[in-house]
Amino acid sequence: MVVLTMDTATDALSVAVGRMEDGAVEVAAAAASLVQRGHSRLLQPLAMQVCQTAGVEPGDLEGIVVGVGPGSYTGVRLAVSTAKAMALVLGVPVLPVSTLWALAEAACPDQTAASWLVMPLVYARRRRAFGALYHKRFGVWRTLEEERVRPVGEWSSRMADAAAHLSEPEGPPLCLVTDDFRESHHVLPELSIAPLHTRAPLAAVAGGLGPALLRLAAAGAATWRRGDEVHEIEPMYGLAVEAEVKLEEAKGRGHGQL
Amino acid sequence: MNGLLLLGIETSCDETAAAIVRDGRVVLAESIASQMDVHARFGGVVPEVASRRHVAVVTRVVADTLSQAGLAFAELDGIAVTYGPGLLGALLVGVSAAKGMALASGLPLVGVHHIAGHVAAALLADEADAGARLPALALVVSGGHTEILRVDERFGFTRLGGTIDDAAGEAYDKVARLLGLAYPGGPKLDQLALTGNPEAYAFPRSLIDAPNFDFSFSGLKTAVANELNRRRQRGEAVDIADVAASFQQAVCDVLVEKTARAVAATGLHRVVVAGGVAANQGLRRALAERAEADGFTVVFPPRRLCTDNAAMIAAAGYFAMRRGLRHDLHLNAHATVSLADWQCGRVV
Ligand SMILES: [Zn+2]
Repeated sequence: MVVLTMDTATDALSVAVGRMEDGAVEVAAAAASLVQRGHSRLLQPLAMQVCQTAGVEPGDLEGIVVGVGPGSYTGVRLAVSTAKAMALVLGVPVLPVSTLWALAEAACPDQTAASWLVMPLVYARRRRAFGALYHKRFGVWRTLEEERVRPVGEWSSRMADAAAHLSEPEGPPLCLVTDDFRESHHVLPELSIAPLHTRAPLAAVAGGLGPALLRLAAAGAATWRRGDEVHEIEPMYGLAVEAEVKLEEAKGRGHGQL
Repeated sequence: MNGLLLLGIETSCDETAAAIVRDGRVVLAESIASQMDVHARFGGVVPEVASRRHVAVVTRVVADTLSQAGLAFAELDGIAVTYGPGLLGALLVGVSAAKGMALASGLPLVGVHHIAGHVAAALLADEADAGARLPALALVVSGGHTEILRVDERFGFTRLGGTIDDAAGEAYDKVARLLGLAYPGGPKLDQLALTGNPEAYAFPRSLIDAPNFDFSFSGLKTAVANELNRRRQRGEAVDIADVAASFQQAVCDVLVEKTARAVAATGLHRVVVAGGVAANQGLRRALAERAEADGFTVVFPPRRLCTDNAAMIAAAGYFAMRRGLRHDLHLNAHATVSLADWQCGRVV
């Protein structure tokens, strides 16, 4: 199966083309861009370029794997809209995959017996982050905490708790955080609560994100959507729209309208 | 001879729309998912809500349009998409989808200026007639725009003038809110004006004597607000139908006067009216009367094509492609872009 992968939910735009057969993966070409606000212009040209490098015509694609966030609202819509549109033209299925999971796989491609506790974090303003907690051993992932928004400090202490639990049977896990935090977000000190062995900044994992989506797809990480089901794919936003929250609050206070 | 078939996609505000148009004139199929009800709860369009809805329905409206027309992608000749002006997040959904379709199908792509789309709506054939011909003057009146344009026979635009503050449609919505009419208030105000006395209040006709084709509507809105306040403070009753009718008369007087003067100045005796306010009954009547008196013709698009739709985008895309405009996969969306920058390919 010839597959195109793409993700635009973070500051990294990542694409890849490869073949999957019986759970095995062969990456034919991959590319990434960290150009600020460049995703909307560059996604499709980069996808085209990766296809050409791989020697694949767009018409040869048999499936599209797309990162569905959570992450930047505007960003995450770019890849999802593009994937749905391409699938409509080509008549191929789409596999929606969590961007956070893909970040975890990109940061931790290890297939050995080592026990890894991985926490991907994407900044969500007001000292909060979209995050999740995963455990990996022998190349098999287990989700400990589903994708959601929490204060960064809370994520850090959750990671500490998870590390303590995992230590019981097999000794302490290797703890890895991958994040897109900048100095200006003022949350870096809060990461120090986490039992951190390695920190992988987004820039370091961006190039591996496209191939990571391919490996997760081959491992059966999500369910392929076919035919009319493709229309129903939506980004994982992680947060309600502020205007909707306010409207609900106003209703609660007995006002009909804002 | 099938002619050239273009798929149009429009997501610049709160309508997700797709259409297939032949040779820029004949609508073969259209599908539209309106978000009007979604935004009515908020009293206005919430950009993030709009963008989320667009992603949820964009491929479905395209699929519906293709199946209505009984066509496959391979049978189309190109894809046209609104790339600006509009809500950036909303525009990006349509542009991303259109670029994905162009990448997957190899079809030519053209980004379309939303206002050029509104003008092209008047060129589309209706059941009744074959649509307007070019060259013509265009009066564009919508919630975001009030402009007088000269459109040459090759669909090239020259801007003669436009609003220096609020758009006419914006003034309608603001005054409707002052009168307590629920969102979207413009059409309700138009309806209410039918029953009122247009001479009850003397609201200002800003710039009506200025020797140019510019408009200003913010003073008019302020005048209405002041009048309402004054009456309420004195405890006087206000007949809102009279206010609506007098406001509408002031807007129409200016629009009609400047349009008639543009006809005289350019010698173009054909005027097309475009944009959401082109559906306004008061404006239609006032312009038709003046056209009759001055001896020019005025063409209004069918009412359903006055509001945002994709048939007008496919039509504008066809005429733009014929002028040689084409975009590659680097096409971006722009919240603001001028007609001039669009048509010469300066902003992509
Ligand atoms: Zn419009």
